[in-house]
Amino acid sequence: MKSTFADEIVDLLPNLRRYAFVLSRSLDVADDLVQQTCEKAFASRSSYAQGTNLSAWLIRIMRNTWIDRVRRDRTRGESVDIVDRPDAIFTDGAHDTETHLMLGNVASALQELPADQREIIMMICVEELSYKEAAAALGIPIGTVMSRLARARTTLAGKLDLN
Amino acid sequence: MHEEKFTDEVLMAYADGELDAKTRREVEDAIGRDTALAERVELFMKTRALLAGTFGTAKVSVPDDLEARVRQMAGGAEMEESASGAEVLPFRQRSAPRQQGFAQRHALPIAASLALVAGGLLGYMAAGQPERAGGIEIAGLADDRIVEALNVSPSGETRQLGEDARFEAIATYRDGAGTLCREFEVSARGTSHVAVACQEIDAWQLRFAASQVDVNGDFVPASSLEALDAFLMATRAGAPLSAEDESAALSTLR
Repeated sequence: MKSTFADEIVDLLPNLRRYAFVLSRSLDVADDLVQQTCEKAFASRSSYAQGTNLSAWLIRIMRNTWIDRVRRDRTRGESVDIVDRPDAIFTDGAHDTETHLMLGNVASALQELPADQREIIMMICVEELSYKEAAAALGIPIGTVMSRLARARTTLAGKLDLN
Repeated sequence: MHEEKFTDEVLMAYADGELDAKTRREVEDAIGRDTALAERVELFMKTRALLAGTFGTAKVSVPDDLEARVRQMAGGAEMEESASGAEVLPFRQRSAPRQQGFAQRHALPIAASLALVAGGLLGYMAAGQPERAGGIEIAGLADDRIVEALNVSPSGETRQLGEDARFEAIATYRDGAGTLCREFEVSARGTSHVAVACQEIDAWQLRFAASQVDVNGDFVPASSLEALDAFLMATRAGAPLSAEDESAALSTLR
């Protein structure tokens, strides 16, 4: 059976929730953001070009929703530090100490990056957007995507001693 | 040797599989000769694998009620499509009868108010009619008090524009073309508009305005914000400037 637009969006809810959490660092705000993003997605479904990356389209909507939210509402909900509470959204590893530690370490290094670098590294390395899709989502040239992403990754490698 | 021509960006793009075939072969040749280059590529591969492995494969929990709400929205959106006879995409799902109530209560009124805002906006812009908010003319930014407020008010500040009118600076940003823009609200005697003005040839030009009040006089911020979102997306609006950057940008206007 073919999956519906709604099914595809529901399948992406974990990705949306993860991305919303990285953007907002707040559980309440993240879930709100996911919901607003889905509302907009259903309302403007005609602007989605079938066959293109749905995840990239949704992330773009979410990012604009987030920016608008920051514009009008300087209170951003109660911050939850992913470093202290990786289990807040990640279910795996809550009982597995090693995974938990790893998640904590990487999350901690990630949080030390500037927001624009954190955002792009998540888009490309975790959400698997292409450079082109990320450039479209952020409204910046591909060259900027690449320089920002390379900076983010070399900094992260330094923090985590991957060199 | 030509190895130094490969910047971090190119090596990273190689690791990410983003290079064209020709450059990819060039990098492949080069990393075969130069272990330092190979290590650099490996660093980019490692960071990606680590992030993907840590976040990508960890299971993200989704609360049941969140999924339920999204499913409900989907039902509402479909009802709206079939009710309006709009063209539908091939994978449209038949909505379950129990979702009709939701659609009637929520989806249709939202769509209707959106259409009103969009229609009203296009209407006055096309006709070139000045939009008035209780005596304050927004469309041409003819009102010196608005221009002055745009020049000096930091975002978050509300200022009175005379007895009944109020201006609120929401945010300052640069659009995709690098033009300085400000989002603001003007309300006067029961009407309220959300608007965006951008600096063009040393003057503020109105780029967007939407009424936040519907035909019945009810406050409907949601629909005007939907229209605003579409505008911001279309013009590739950047993130709001920080207070310092905003202050620096505004100081160049005087």
